[in-house]
Amino acid sequence: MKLQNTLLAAAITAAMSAPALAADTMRMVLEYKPGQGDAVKTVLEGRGITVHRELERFDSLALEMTKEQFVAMKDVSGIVGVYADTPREMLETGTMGEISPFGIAQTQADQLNYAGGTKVCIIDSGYDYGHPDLPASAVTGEEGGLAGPWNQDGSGHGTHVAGTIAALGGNGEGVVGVNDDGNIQLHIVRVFNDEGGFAYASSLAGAISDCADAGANVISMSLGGALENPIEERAINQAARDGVLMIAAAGNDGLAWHSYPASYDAVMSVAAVDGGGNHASFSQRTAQVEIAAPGVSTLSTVPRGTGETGVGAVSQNGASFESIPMVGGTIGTVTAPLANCGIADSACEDATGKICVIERGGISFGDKVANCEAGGGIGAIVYNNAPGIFGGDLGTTSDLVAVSLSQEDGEALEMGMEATIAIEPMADYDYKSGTSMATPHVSGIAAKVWSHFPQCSANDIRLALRASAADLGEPGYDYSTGWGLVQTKAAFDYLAANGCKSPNSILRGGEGRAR
Amino acid sequence: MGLPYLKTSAALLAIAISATGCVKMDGKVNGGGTMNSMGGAGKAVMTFNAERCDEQPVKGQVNFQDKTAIDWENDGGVSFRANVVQAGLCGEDIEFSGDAALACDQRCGPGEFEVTFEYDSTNPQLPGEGTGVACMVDWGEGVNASYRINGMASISVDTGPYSSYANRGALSGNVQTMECPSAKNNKNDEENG
Repeated sequence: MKLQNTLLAAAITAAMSAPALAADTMRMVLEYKPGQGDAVKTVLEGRGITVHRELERFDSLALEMTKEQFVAMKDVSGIVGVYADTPREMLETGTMGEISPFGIAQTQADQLNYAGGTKVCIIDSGYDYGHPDLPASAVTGEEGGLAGPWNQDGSGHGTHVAGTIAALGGNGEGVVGVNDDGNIQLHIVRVFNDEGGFAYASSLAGAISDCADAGANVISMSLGGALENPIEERAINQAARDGVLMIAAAGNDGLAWHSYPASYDAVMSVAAVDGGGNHASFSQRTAQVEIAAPGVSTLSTVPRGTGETGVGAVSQNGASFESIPMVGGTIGTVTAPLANCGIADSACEDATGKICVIERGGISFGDKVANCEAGGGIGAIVYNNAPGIFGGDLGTTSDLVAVSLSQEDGEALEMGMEATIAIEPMADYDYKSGTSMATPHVSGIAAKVWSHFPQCSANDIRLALRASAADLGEPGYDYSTGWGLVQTKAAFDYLAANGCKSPNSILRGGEGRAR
Repeated sequence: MGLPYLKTSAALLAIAISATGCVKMDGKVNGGGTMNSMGGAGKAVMTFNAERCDEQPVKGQVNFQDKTAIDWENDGGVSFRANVVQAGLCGEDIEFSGDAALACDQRCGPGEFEVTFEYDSTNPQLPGEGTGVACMVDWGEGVNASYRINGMASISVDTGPYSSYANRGALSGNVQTMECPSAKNNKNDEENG
């Protein structure tokens, strides 16, 4: 409990200090009286206050100023109000090692084609335009953003998100996305710079308006932060009234905290699960969590040349299995007979010149692989002790090729028979985990399902995704995974059977119950 | 003349965040309002007042309710009344006296008013007592009607029936940090020459 409280304390301090309290300058949002924006802006700029963005639609300016400038602003006429701008950040937890294609099947994305006509707007760190596994012809972006060109991505987060939505299929390389035929329309709005640090709520408000103006049906936001913000909520409610479906990451603090924009009613909050449908430990639990999607060690596109982990593969008797490279293992290929090492809590017996097959649990992954090597093993497969696949970190480096497998695949391997394990370098792809990775699964699926029912509203699609989700965890709605795992074909079937008949008002988030 | 409210709070904030270390300084805080529930669908409600002034004993109270906090809602939620046992405006770069009571808890950063409290649960389903820490940030809402500035608050409970409760959010009501009477008197003396 002490550690938990310490972690909570650190998170609270970070959240509370985020609005630049301790910095030399503060980020603020100023709302001016209608028609007085130019006059107010002129006065503020004359006083040396930086205007980061004009948000005419909301009669507001995003500002940066010192404490002294803030105090002196009191005598400026035409101001309705001023409040703190709040930071928003990308919601990935880092690389772990797992594979995206399991997420495609897990969400039934491979059971429905894309019928065209819908557009997803991705608000993120940009897009590696020209990536061989990402669409180009139907991709547009917002020019002139302060974070950098929309068609570049120094961080890699936005390109990873885009790959989950739209990576190309049938080209014989890389991965496939939820919509893999290259026809999905994308609009990119970049709010994170190459360093991938904070954006602000005011930036997000402007980005949401940009998405709506670009004709987006779905806005995908793999980002979030503490503290609700008035201008952000106004932008979101306006977009909802304009018929846009907004989807955002629930947050990665692993706590019962609201994260915004996900916890606004007009936004679907997305939790992350692993390949076995288990709630990811980092995924925040709240009453606004509405649906779940794969978000643990998700393989997708990254800017060309920046992939680090490599991609794992296991094959035996002509069958191939999805596998995840263990972080710290060696890139390479090994073909040898398999040796059963149990949980490998001591040096594996009879493993000389063989590939160790090890069950997860008991001791660290690093110790398991070390015990394989101590027994003479030349490669290691660690398979799960529960349904689904997982990613692992050795905590050190190893000379062995080491990968993980699902429990089902691990138990299907034949001991004594020859198998091949490989970790191949793939510089244009990598694994990431987070509710950031779960979010684009839902965004892509929403666009795919909607493409078959263009007469439906955003609320129709949202309610269909809720109603057709595969229940996870506690029976019925729960705070960890919402209504359950998003299901593409089931959502299609739901709308085909029930039609589009939802109300036009802004829905309640999460379970949808009235407060 | 005294500073207008906004200027007073901004001045306190400026002093607090211009210093180093993170030590409690004299000051007063009061306010209340609603903020988001800890993960729940409803709102948390709080009122508070606390002061560390002029070498007098620290005093104040905190009342807090979060009936929809998702880990307690099935037991009637979080609800307590508390007495303030330590308080002060956290500032950096102050020469530390070595008095542990003046060191700010790591949960409260510079510019935040820290309140350490001992509570009694007011939820009969979860009786008991415990301790916790709240941090308040004054963004100047209140007297200055032309500004719509929210305060912010965080609260975390260390012991007792609500141990591990932790929440933070924008406060829809008000947070007012104020100087102690002696500081105001000193300022008046200076201004009167």
